[in-house]
Amino acid sequence: MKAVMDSSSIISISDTCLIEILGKLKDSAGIEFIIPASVERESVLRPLNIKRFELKAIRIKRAIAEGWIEVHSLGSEGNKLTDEIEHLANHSFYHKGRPVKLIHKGEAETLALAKVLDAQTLVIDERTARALVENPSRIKSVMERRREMEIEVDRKNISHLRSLFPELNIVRSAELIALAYEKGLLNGKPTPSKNMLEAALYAVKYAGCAVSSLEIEKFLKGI
Amino acid sequence: MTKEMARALTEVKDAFSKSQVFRLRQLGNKLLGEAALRGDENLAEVSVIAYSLHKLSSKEHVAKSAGWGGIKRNILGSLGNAINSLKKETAGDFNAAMHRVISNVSETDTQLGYYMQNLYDKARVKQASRAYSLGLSLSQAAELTKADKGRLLSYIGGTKIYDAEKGEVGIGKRLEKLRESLGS
Repeated sequence: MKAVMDSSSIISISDTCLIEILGKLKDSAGIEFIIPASVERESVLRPLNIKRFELKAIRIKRAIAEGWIEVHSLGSEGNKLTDEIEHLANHSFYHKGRPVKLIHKGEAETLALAKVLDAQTLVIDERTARALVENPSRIKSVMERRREMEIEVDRKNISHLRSLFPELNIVRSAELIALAYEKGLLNGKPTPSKNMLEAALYAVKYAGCAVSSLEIEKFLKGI
Repeated sequence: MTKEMARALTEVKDAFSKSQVFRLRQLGNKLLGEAALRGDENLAEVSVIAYSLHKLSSKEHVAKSAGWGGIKRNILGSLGNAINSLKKETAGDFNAAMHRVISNVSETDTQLGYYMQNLYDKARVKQASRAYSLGLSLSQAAELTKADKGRLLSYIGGTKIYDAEKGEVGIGKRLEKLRESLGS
């Protein structure tokens, strides 16, 4: 199964020293983790030259070198699709007749790569690009609640954007950790403790994965 | 647009000259909200300046230090130059003046800030986190404020942004779909 990852999920899983689970999930569950070349540039090549971020970059570089993560270029079809996705996403929500620029080219590239490769899964830890595909009304409600103003929606653009990803399954690094736990891959132990799972889920939450404490507690209770 | 920028900077300069710390913070928030709606990086920079001036002014050891008067005059002078260049519509002068304001704040941080290492970078991250909470994507919020994305993600993780948002599809349901995709 192909799973395209965006920069937020790579950063949070690397920050928490859990990047090795990608290799383990590849071997045991057959998941091919893929990132666009732009994410490699942003997460590895640029930070390698900045002392403060060097270690994080080395971890991701190692994951690429070990084959846990593959890097793909978009190609001309992907570049065209990136432009289309970026345009649709950034012309879907309006305030007083002006479009709100919601997403950046990098997020559009990740979505485009998922489409071009016909990936079944997208791993994304930030919540806006995810909500665009999954549940755009959440974006409208967040914007209106936080800004106390009315936001208009271009339903045609939203529906066109969503139609590009009819079958895409979206997960966060939290679900990758949960899967690794189920398969006995967390921390290299055959049967890792529930405490280890709890600690790992909270670690990615505090590293920036868009998951609430309530979700984590609810999930842990069900195990 | 130029008039709005000049008005925003004039408000920031006025609040800073009067040491109105709370007003500087409110201005920072208000300007960031407008910048996020328009995708306006210049306005976002003014919001970061307002927020960092709020942080500087609210530190007693800074505001009561011997050098603060001179530093404040320099910052006010640079803000004044930025406003004048906007009025004269000279983009090059405006960029240079804005750069001087940022340098003034960073130099103050270096000279007086034993609690404030990288105050300006932290202000960028803080304002980016606000832009994210208003609905922008992570990368767009980082781009708007020129914040580092990794630091932004980590900062957001320490906030209650996600705990306050209801109706998210939970881990169990997403995991179930992931298992289905894997055919297990």
